[in-house]
Amino acid sequence: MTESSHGHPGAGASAADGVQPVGATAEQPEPRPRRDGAAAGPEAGGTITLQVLRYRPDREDAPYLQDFEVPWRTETSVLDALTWVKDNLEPSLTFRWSCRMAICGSCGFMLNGEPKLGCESFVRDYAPGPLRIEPLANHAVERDLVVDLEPFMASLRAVQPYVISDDRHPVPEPGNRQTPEQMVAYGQYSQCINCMLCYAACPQVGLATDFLGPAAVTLAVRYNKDSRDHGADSRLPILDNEGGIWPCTFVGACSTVCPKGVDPAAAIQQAKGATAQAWAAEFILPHRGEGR
Amino acid sequence: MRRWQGRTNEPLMWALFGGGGMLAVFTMPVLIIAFGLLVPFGGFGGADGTYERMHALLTHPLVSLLVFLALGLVLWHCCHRTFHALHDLKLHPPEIVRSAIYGIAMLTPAIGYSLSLAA
Repeated sequence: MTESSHGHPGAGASAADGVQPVGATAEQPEPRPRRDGAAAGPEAGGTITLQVLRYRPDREDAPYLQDFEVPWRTETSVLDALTWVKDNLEPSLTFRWSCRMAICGSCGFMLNGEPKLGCESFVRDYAPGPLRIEPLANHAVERDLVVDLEPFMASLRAVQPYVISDDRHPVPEPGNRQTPEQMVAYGQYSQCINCMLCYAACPQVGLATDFLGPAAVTLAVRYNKDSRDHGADSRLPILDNEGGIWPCTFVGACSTVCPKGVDPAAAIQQAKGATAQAWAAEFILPHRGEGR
Repeated sequence: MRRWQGRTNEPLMWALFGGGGMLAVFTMPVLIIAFGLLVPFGGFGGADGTYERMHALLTHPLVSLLVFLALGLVLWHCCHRTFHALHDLKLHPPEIVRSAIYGIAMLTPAIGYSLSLAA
């Protein structure tokens, strides 16, 4: 359908479904030349204490932090470290992951309280530790580091994240073409990987539970700004709504944590501006849009 | 005007808020330089008679209207921000508080303009 619908190819598969053995990576902390050349030295490896939030609703009444001693070296990512724990210490540890290269958006965690992708965060940056790993904030925890995606998925569905064509003006041959300039208008917003770090960072997501949230509004703006799309009018009731864009107070944390540089805060500001314009247009032309 | 469940008056509230913020950031530095530095230090050629000249300017009905419209817009920004800060602080005051906060932004310039016309 759209980028939104396959943003989580590995989202449904918990780590229990198939784990790649990467423990060997962490078990041999022999020094190797660093590719980035930064801070190379004797401390480019060692062990670190991971404090991982555990919650198994079938066994425990409340979440708790469990400590794991994990070997690491320069290129050990936090996701590698969690996988090492699962392979070597605690097979029941549950977390989502898939691509290991910051494109599937599955492995978002709170690392020392900050929303990050596990695959592109390196243990070396948290040495000597301890490193606290918790599930994404502002989300219901299903098990260990796995959060409930359903509210986010509902927000994505709500904004109609696909090109809506204009039935009265069918696209002429040879197709729905676009100039590079027209693509630039929404290109940045189409880079979202639905990792939900912005939802974990946004204080308003935690305060207003019906808020569409940064990524969903960004996706709505992404299609509203697409020259091939004619759906802005049907997305307006979703955006101009108590739970639409208005809970946002432009804190900007969403844009700070975004691993893809999408800038959802800007998208929401643009949505607010467009909504105010639509409001003014309807005020001046009261029957605008009524026949649809 | 189309109606749908949950439609808000926030587009208007937010547009005024945005307008007030823009006005404040553009005029504040000018006001500080003009009235904080240039006037007191004689940048406009001596402070003598400044009050009389400003009084004459500001009591002109049109100038006064513009000044109080600007004040209202900036106050609206302040009050809108204050009301949303209450939400950030997890306070959910009754509707009367909301009316009072936005009322400050509407009544202050209205009263001020009346007073300036009477002056």
